[in-house]
Amino acid sequence: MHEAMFYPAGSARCLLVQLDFGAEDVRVLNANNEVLHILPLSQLRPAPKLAATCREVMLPNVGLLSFKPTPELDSLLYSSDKSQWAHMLENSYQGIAISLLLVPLCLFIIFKYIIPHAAERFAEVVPYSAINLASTHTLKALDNSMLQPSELTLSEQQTILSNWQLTLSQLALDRSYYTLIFRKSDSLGANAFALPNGTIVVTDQFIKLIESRQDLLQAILLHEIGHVEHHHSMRLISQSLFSSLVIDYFFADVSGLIDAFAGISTTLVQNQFSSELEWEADNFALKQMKISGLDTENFALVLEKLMKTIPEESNIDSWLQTHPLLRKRIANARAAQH
Amino acid sequence: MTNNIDYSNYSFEDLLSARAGLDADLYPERAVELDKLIAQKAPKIESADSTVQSAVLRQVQVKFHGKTSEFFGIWIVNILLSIVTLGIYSAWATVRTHRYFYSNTEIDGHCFSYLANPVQILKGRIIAVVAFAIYSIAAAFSPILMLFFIVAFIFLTPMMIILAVRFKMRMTAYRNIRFGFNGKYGDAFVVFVLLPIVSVFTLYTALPWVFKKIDEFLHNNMTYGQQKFTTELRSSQYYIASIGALVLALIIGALSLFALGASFSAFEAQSTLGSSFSLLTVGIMFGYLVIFLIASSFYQAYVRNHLFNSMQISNVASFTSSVSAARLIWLHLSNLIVLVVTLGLALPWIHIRTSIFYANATNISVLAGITDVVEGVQDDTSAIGEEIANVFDVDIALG
Repeated sequence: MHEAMFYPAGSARCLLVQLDFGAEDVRVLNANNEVLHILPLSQLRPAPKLAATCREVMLPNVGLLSFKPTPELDSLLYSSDKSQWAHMLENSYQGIAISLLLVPLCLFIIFKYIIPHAAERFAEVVPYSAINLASTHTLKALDNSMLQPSELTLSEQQTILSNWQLTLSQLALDRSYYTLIFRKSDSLGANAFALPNGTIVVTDQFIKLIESRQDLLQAILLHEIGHVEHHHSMRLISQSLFSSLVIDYFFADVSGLIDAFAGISTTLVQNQFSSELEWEADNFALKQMKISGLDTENFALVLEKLMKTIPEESNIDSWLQTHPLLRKRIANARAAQH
Repeated sequence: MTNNIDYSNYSFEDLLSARAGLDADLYPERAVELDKLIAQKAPKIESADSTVQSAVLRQVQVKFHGKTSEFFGIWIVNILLSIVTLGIYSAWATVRTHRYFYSNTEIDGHCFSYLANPVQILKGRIIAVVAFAIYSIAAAFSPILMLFFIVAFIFLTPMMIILAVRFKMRMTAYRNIRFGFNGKYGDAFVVFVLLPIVSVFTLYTALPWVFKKIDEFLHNNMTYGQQKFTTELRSSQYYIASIGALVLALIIGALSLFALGASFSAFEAQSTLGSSFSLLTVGIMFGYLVIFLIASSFYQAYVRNHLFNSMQISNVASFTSSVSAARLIWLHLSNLIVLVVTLGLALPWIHIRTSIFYANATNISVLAGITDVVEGVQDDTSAIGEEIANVFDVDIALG
C-alpha cells in the first residue's frame, strides 16, 4: 500500500488515498479502505521522472494522482529505466561532468567556427538584386540622417574620379561594378565605407585629411574594395542574425539580467568578427597594391593620418571596437613591404 | 469502452467532481450512472448563498523545495542536449525546467503542476524562429521594409502578449485545476500600445497610471478554474513606487558621477597609457546597469506587495506579499555580481535562491470555497504567442 493524493477530475477536491498495485492493475482506496477505482496499469499516464519532485500520474477522465517519490513506487511506475534517460543523465555525476566540459566547448565551436562559416556560405548565395536593394535603401537612409551632399568642387571630384578609373583598370576587377561617390558628414568625420553593391562613399573630411593625395586614396579604396570582394557586409549581417538567433534560442527564457549579460557578450563576439573582416580587407588591399606595383607604405601612411584624428587607443579598446587597433594595422602594412 | 467504475462509495461532492470532469461523449454510460447517483445523494438543504465570501480556512506561507544541487544537473544536461540536437530538445528542456520549479512550489500541502506538451512548444518555437529570421533579414536588407515591420509589430504585440499569458496560465495547474486568462485584444491594445503613447504627451507623468492599467488588465483577467481573480489597485501606490524608483536612481546616479569624477581625475594624473577612456566607458555601462537594477528592484518590491495584498480569487484565496525593497535590491545586485564572476555558471543557484526569496515573502489565506472550484471551459492553447514573445523580447512580468 502506498499513500497518495487523488484529485478527481474537474474539481479542486483532494482525497487522501492508498494505492494498491497488482500485477495488472492498481486499486485506489479511500480513507475507509473502500475501493474508488480499479485501473489497468496500461491506462496510467505518469509524467516523466524529474529529480525528487512529486510524481504525477494522469488517470484519463478519472483524475490525477500525486505522491512523494519512493524507489519502490518509481520502479512500479517506470518499468524501464531507459525511458527515463533524461532523469538518469541529470542525476549522474558523469552526465553533469561531461556536460560541464562539452557546453563551453560546443558554444566556442559554434561561435568561433560554425556561425562564421555559415555566414560566409550564406553571403555567397545572396542574389545581386537583394544586395542592390539593401545598398540603395541603406544609402537613402544614411542620406537622410548622417550624410550631407559633398562640398567638393566638380573639378576636384572629376580628378579623383578619373584617377579612380585608372586604378580600377590596373586591377583585374570589374570596373562597372564599383562606383565612387562623395558626401559630407559631420558625425562620421574622416571616413570611407563600402556598400555591398560596390558603391564606395568617401567623406569630404577624409579627402581633406589625405590632402587629396591620389596614392593615399588608392590605398584606402582598395581596402573598401576588399570588403566588397569578400562579401563582408552580407557576412556581417548573417553573422549577427545567426548569433542573435542562437543566443535568443538557447537563452531566451532567462530573466532580463541575463539579457543584458548576453547583449554584452554578443557585442564582444560581433566585434571580434568584424575585426577579422578588417584584417581581411587590409590584406586584400596590400596584396593588390603589390600586384599592381604600388607602394604599400601609402597604406601605412593613411592609417597614420587617421590615427591622429582619434584619441589614443589602448589594448582594452580592441575588445570594444569593431576595427582592430590602428597601430597594429600600421605595423601589419609595414611588414607587408618586405 | 466498458470498464465501468464503481461509484457507489463516492460522497456527494466526489460524485459532483467526477461528473464535472467526465467526458460525456466518450463515456455516456458513466455519465448516466453519475447523474442518477447525484440525484439520489443530493443534500436536502439548499447550499449557502454563493455571493457570501467564504471564511478563511488557513494562513499558509508559500514553500519552495528546489535545491541548487539538483537543479544544476538538470540545467547543464539540458543545455548540452539542446545544443547537440540543434535546439530541438530545448522544448523538452523548457518543460523539465518549468516542471522542476512548479512541482517544488507548494501551497497548503499541494504543489503546482506545469502541463505544457514539449511538441506544442517546439511548434511555437519553429514559427517564432522563422518569423524572427524573416524580420531580421528584411531589417538588414531594407530600412524601409523594417519600418513596415515595426508598425506591424506594434499591432501584433498585444496579441502576442495575450497568447503568451494565456498559454502560461493554461499550462499552470494547482490541485488539478488549471488557471486561465480571458484578456481581449481591444483592451490589450489600449493598455500596451495606446496608453503608453498617450503618456508621452503628458511628459510621462501618466506612466505610473498606465502601469496600473497594465497590471489590472493582466490580473483581473486571470482565472482559477471558474473563479476570477480580482484586484483593487490604487494609482497612488504606483506613483509612490515610480517616484521612489526615480528619486533613488537620481541620487545614486549623482553620487556615482561624483565618485567617478574624483577617481577619473586621479586616473588622469598617473595614467600615461590613456587606457582610462575605455575603462570609463565600461564603468559607465556597468553603472547604468546597477542603477537600473536598484531602481527597478525598489519598484518591483513596492508594486508586488501592493498587487498581492489587493488581489484575491473570490472564495478561494487572498494573498499577502511582504518583499523588503532593500533585500530585493541586495538579491539582484549579488545575483549580477555572482553571475559575472562565475561566467554564468551560477545561473541555477540564482534561480533557486530567487524562488526561495519570493516564496518566503508570500503568504496565502486559503478560503473555504477552494474545494468547490470546478474546471473552467477547456480550449486548445498553442505556444506560438509565448514563443514569439520570447524571441522578440516582449517581456511580460507576472508577480
